Amino acid sequence: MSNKARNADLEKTILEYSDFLFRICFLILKNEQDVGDVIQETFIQYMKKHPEFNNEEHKKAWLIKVAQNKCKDFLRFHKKHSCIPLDEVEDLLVDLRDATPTHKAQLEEIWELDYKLRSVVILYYVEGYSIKETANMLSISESACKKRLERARKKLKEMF
Amino acid sequence: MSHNDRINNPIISNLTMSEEMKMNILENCKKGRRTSDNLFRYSKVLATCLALFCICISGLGVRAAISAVDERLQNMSEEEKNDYMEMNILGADADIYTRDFTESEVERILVLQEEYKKGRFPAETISIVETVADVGDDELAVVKEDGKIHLPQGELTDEQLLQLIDYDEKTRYTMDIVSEEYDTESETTEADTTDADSGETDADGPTNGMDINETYDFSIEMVKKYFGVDIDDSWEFSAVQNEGEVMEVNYPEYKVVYDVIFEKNGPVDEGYHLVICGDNSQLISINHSGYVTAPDNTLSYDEALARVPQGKDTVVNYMESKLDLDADTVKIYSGFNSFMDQVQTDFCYFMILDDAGNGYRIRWIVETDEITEIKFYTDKNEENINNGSVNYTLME
Repeated sequence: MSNKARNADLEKTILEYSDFLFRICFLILKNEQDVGDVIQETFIQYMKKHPEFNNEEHKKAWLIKVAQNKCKDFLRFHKKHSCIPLDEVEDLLVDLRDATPTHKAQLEEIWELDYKLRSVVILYYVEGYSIKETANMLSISESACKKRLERARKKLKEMF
Repeated sequence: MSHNDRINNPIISNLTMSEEMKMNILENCKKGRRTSDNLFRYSKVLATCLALFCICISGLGVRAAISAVDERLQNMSEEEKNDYMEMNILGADADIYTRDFTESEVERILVLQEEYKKGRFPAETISIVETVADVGDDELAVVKEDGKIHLPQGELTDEQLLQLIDYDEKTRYTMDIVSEEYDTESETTEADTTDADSGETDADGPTNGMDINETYDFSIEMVKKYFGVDIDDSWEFSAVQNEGEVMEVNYPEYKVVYDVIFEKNGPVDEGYHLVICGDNSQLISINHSGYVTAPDNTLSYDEALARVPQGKDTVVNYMESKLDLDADTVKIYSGFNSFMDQVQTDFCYFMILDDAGNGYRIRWIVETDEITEIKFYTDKNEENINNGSVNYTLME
């Protein structure tokens, strides 16, 4: 692939998937700047490796998997990672007309979960991936995935 | 809450990246420019160092050194701990360093981290001062006023880097203590986690089969047997009894199935996950999870395939020593898992079938030549092993 074609592909991929990755990574890292770093590293890996994908879903899953690993790296070496107050999250949002205090409480509950539980909840309940897909993206066994979901459900059940 | 109960929260669904950030990322990627966050950029290298450190942990010399580090951390005064705690909170909303690390500083950090673990400590601890005005241009200090670590403008000396490593270790240690206290409080209120030492079981726990203490002891024995690792008090233990949909779908033939997890050093480090049938004290699966065992898909299919014979050797050695199986009396199959029609090359499954109708599925990590999971079956045979996402081939 020529440089021009590669850059065009990169631009298309960033425009198409950055909001989606931003959402997932933001729920994990809770800080816009850190998420920016993670996503930049994710796209750099995409550009360097240039993996071949069977379809768009496969590409999306690959990007999630890499971004999740980058988030994990990030958390591993930034135990003191920052978290912006929820009120400031509103500045990032385009439209909050439908948001209620319950929705804010729900987001805070998700943020209260530890990394392992939060990551499965995001992929399974927010993004709608199956247990098998979630387990694959997180490089864990299906039974570990189910177990984490069960633990997360117990912690979250009061808000539903 | 079932899978149909998708979380539909407008705050989440409206989260978008600013156009400015998208354009910055695009420009930076085109130029191949990495993030300025050095610890993050080099995290893979650091992780490898940590992993190597964990592997070396069984050496007596290192054991002694760890004790020295532990002793140093445990001997912190309450005042010192309070300072680290305060800085952790103050630093929560800020970029922590006042400048990027240079390439050579990062390289030296990697070396000095290892030396720190072996007992090389800074002559003095890092300065913690109240205001930015208290810090000179060439000084290293933690400033309470802005919650940042001020790095000198010139290159950091080894002593200063050791002070930073020491600060990081001490902060982490302090926060771990707080987390443990928090976890302990949480566990006492959670129905899903039971204190193994208390002898108490879930309110809805089994009335027959293994109780939680037996499960704990059995699990320790299994980790030792299959991975040769001694589980001691430094491992966090949790056990959950599966119920509802999970039981119906996965374990319809059993009444009681426990998921047992041992974790060490926080949520993203290493752990062992066991699935145990409480009805008959049978191990269903055992898995060594954690960061070091989850490499990316870096090998091509052909490269991974070429390494399978090496994997077979490892698996045969393993099954002869751990599973009491003789390679001459079993059939060994190998196959790669497919995910969304794409072959995953980071690990390979070996399925071993014996004459008695037992199946053993072994997960082998291609790049590291490690075995990370053993799953036991009683219903596998040549006809049904290819029903899942793995296409097994009989090995010569």
